[in-house]
Amino acid sequence: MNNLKKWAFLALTTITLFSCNNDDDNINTNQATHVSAVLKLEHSLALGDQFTLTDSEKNEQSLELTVFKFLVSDVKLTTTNDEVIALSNNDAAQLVDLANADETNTIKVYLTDIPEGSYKSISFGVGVSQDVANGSTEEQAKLYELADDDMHWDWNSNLYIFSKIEASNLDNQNTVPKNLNIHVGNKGGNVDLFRTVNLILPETLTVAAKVSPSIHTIVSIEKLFTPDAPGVAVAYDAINAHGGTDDASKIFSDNYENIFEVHHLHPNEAAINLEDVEMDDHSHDGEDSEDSHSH
Amino acid sequence: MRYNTILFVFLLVLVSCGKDGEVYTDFEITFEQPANFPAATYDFEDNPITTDGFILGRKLFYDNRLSLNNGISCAECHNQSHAFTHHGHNLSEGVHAGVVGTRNSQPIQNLAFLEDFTWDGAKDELIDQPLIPIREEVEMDETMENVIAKLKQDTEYQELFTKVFQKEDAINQATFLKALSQFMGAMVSSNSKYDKYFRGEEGGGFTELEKQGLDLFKQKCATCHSGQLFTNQEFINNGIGENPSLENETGRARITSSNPFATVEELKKSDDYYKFRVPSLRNVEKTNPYMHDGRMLNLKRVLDFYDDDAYPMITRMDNLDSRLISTDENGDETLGIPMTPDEKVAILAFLETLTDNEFINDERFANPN
Ligand code: HEC
Ligand code: HEC
Repeated sequence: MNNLKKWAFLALTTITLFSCNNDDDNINTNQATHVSAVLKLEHSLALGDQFTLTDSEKNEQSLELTVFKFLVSDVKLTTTNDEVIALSNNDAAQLVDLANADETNTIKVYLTDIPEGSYKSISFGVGVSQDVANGSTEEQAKLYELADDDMHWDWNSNLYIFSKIEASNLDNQNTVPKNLNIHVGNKGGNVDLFRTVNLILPETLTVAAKVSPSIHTIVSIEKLFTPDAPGVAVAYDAINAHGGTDDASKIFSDNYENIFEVHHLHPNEAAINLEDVEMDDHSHDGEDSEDSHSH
Repeated sequence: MRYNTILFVFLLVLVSCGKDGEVYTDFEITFEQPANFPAATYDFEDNPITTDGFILGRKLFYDNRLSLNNGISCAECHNQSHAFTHHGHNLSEGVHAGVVGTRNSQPIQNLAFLEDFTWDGAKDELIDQPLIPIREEVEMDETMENVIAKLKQDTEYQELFTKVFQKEDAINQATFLKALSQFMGAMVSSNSKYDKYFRGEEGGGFTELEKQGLDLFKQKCATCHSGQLFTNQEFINNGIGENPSLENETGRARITSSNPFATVEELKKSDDYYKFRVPSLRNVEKTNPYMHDGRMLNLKRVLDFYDDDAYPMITRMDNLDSRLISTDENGDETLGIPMTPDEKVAILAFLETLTDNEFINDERFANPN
């Protein structure tokens, strides 16, 4: 009798344990995710690099870049038949942070779930559109995470900070040197500073299972202030973050459309899996991200 | 003997599946629009309120793991017996003992009807609001990443999130915020004596004094504290005046400035300087102290502030609301709302009819643990 009770007890405890813990079943369904294409962003500057900008009094200022980051959302591709494929922000949204770049100042944005086919252009938003920010909460799950660290304003209804650029002035003569400190977002709510970048590809991009082609793009950071025509030049200390005018902020945001240029495609790069590259990238994290915090 | 074994094993099941076998969950939550309220602003399409979502949100609201070192929960500063405010604190103390914030805690009630949240309208969607207290150093001082990681370690949360959001691996910031928002959205206070009087229901008998108070309130206060929520939801400078110990307070100016780095000096020039959201006066008897910084300890003092003679006085900033200024034929200004001592007594009696004891004692909103 006593023994029987022990058995019953043991059996039932085991059942109980199992029935409470049934989520273990899903762990092994870890399927590999094929990377459809890679947006390679090669930046013209690295953090710590020196560069020169003109201030609103037309004086040249020597600056050292300390922060450059922006949120990418609403990635879309257009097929050669003019069909637009929109990727979900829960997959394709990304925080491009120069602090995580490799030796060639390059950051890779991995795109998955693009249908197989031929594509002629790619577009993405710098920041988060009002439609997305005011839309479905669950469709912002990844954006919330990307913004969590320091790309959000708590005291603002559209919480996302779209982009940040910061540089310290190397002038040691002046007691109050003009630093570069621009955080863009829909703050205050009267002007929409979300911008869409549209990149025409120099040749057709073929998305297929056996390859992970890459789009090698140059990001010319200085062009935010001195863009190619028809962009309008803007003094780095005229922008709203310095108490300047909203017009300057608008022009500055427009210039985000100007800084990206596709250099060439690598159409036949060997297929890669997202899980492998994510592991790789995370191994750099600790050492790199330290100096990216501005406050 | 056999029954004993079964009972023992049954208890074991309860214990191993979750410590709180006695959670009060025996109810259905449906959002009910009170007949006398304005239309809800809550986004039911994005985040419908369900009983399971409400129960999950409630568990989160009362969970200390939302803060650094698991020190405090939301309920620390939003306590049911005080209409979900922080009793005895003018400025709320957070997870760090002795370190207080800059604002007086607000009641969690009727949020499904509000256009903007917090005293200055820092958020315009309820769903984003909890991000503020969780991350603020003076409140819970935690990161969302840590909160989510802590919740993921708990199998009970894994199950609850999956049940509510109908997918595996459901715990993330978006679902977390949705659950909290469902709980808070369902917290409707609409059964005060005043409501019953207004709707002609049983228990709504007003005394002569209360009736007189309501009339006076309509004349003198309802220009701002209007409608059934007792707020027009505008941001207004009501003459409260600067608080010398809170130098960084700028009110609504910080929100509407397009410059994230604007200094206090710059914000002082804004037309929104020291404007605050007109608060709802529901349950006001229970939510003391009063005003954005809790500087007034009781309602008597609030009325002395609003009148045109008794101390404390109204402060005349450039953007003081014109409803608090009257100008005579010589161009001389009187600030405030003239009230006799008897009128104040009547208004106070009326304000007390706004207390909703059903809400304050509603077990569904109470700590489930
Ligand atoms: C340390 C005290 C404290 C804690 C903890 C706290 N709050 Fe608050 N809460 C406040 C204060 C103070 C305000 C007013 C904020 C302001 O105006 O800046 C507030 C305001 C709010 C509001 C806005 C109400 C309205 O009428 O606009 C909501 C919603 C809210 N809190 C929810 C929460 C939730 C959810 C949690 C837990 C995640 C939480 N609070 C934790 C003190 C606290
Ligand atoms: C011109 C608009 C206006 C008028 C008129 C007005 N109020 Fe207010 N009231 C406000 C604003 C704005 C606040 C918040 C100010 C702050 O927090 O600094 C407020 C705050 C309060 C509070 C504090 C509530 C809380 O939760 O802390 C009470 C109580 C109050 N008012 C009662 C009254 C009464 C009674 C009258 C009429 C005698 C009245 N008010 C007239 C705008 C007004």
